[in-house]
Amino acid sequence: MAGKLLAGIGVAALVVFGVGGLVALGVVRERVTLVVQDSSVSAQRGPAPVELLAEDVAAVRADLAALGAALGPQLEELHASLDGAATQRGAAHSATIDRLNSAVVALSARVDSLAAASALREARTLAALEELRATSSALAQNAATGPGAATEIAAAPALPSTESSAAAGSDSSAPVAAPAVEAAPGPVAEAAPAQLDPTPPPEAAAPAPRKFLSFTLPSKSFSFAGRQRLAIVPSLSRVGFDAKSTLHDFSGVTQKVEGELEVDLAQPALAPAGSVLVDARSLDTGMADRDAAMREHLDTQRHAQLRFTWTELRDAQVDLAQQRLSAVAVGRLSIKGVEREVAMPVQVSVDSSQRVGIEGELKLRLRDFGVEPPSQLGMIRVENEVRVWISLRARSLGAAKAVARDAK
Amino acid sequence: MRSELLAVLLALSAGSCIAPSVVSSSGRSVSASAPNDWRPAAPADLAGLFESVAVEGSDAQALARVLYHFTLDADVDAAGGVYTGAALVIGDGAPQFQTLGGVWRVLAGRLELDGVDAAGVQVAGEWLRLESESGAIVLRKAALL
Repeated sequence: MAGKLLAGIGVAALVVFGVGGLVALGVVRERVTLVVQDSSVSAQRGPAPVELLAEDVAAVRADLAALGAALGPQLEELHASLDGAATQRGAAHSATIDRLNSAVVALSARVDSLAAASALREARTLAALEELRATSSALAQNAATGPGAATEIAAAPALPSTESSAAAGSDSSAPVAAPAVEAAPGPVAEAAPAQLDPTPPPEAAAPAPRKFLSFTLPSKSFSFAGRQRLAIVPSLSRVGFDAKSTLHDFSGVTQKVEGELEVDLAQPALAPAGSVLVDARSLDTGMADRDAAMREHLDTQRHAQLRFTWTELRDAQVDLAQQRLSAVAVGRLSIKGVEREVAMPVQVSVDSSQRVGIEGELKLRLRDFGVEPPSQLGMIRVENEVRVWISLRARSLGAAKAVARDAK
Repeated sequence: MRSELLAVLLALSAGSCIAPSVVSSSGRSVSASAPNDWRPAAPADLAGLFESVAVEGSDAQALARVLYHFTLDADVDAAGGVYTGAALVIGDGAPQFQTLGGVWRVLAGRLELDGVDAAGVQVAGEWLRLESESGAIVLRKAALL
């Protein structure tokens, strides 16, 4: 039964496949056209795709060859330069490493010497203390036995201290080798232990404090470069103006000037700051009546000070070797309470006493600052334009806080 | 009114006769006024209180103010006596006073402080000039009280 069923299914399948094949043949026949042609005809139509492909490949090969020929020397050159740069960098790095190594070695030696010196001092202090203790004990023992102890006290060693040297030197009844320095902090206090220590430690090799008329001066001297504070020395400074009038020209001058500036003279563009204050009441033109009129016009009762606030040094030209600087000082000038931005060309130099000199002048119009030029009956008139000048001497007060390079 | 106008006209006409009183650009800087008739000092010239008016030189620039008081005392030294000195020293930090004390003497125009040659010393009236290789100080006699 099953065999018959399978045979039936097989016959049916054959019939279905046969019919399907015929239908497919019918469909395909309408869409497919077979053309049989001679090979010479096809040759006339153009090159075969394979040949085109071969030509393209040949062209690409030629391009690659040309590219290779062109790139070769350049790559070699690049390789050579990279090699050179790498060699230089390597040498620089080696030098830097050598320097760092040397610095580390020097630092280690310094640390060692400091430690040794410290240990030596500690040992000496302990020994002195021990000896003092022994002397004290002996004194206590001898106290009951009577006089004689005083001599032993005098022989007792002195501990290293600044007080002992000051006390020794303050005895003015007899000449002493070195002057007594009383309550002198800073460099003097540092110098005292070195005088007591017969074998100064290596750190004593630092610049020794200078002496001038027996005063101990800081070892650090003036430096043109580096941001520093400059204080105006009034006794060596003058500020004034030159004015023209229909009668005759005159100047007004004062030495009552003060102020402090902060600047790196070697890099003046780095955020200079500070101000110059002038006592307007002290301006002297040499004629009392004219001075009185000037003060009235400047309203010095209400605005006693002229102020220049320095904000920028422009177009600076620095001569480090000569310690000179020329630039345009830009800032805000306040006269009679009216503030205007002004630009004053200045020359900066350092004198033999290491004071910083600042010279400059600018022209300004009085009316810009609300000052009416003095006039007598409209006929004797002071011109509106006056020339203001400064001649300042400033003393360095030491280093100022550093300012970022891009600060303005 | 007429007289005032006349005065103004007279002043105007005289204007050309009045010399201008403008400070020349080369005369703007301040130079310390000091005598020029210096002579070597004798011990008696130093007795009293002296206060600095000018400090010059590379070393002296660190001194803002200097005061000396010299006392003649023949018991201490025939050519000197005792002294005390104070200086306002400017370093990197805040200015600090230093004080000195000891004996002084003047020999052949040289000032010795505590047995050490300190400076050449000259006088001119009430002025005193102490000068060493690295600086000089001009002092003026001051009232003690």
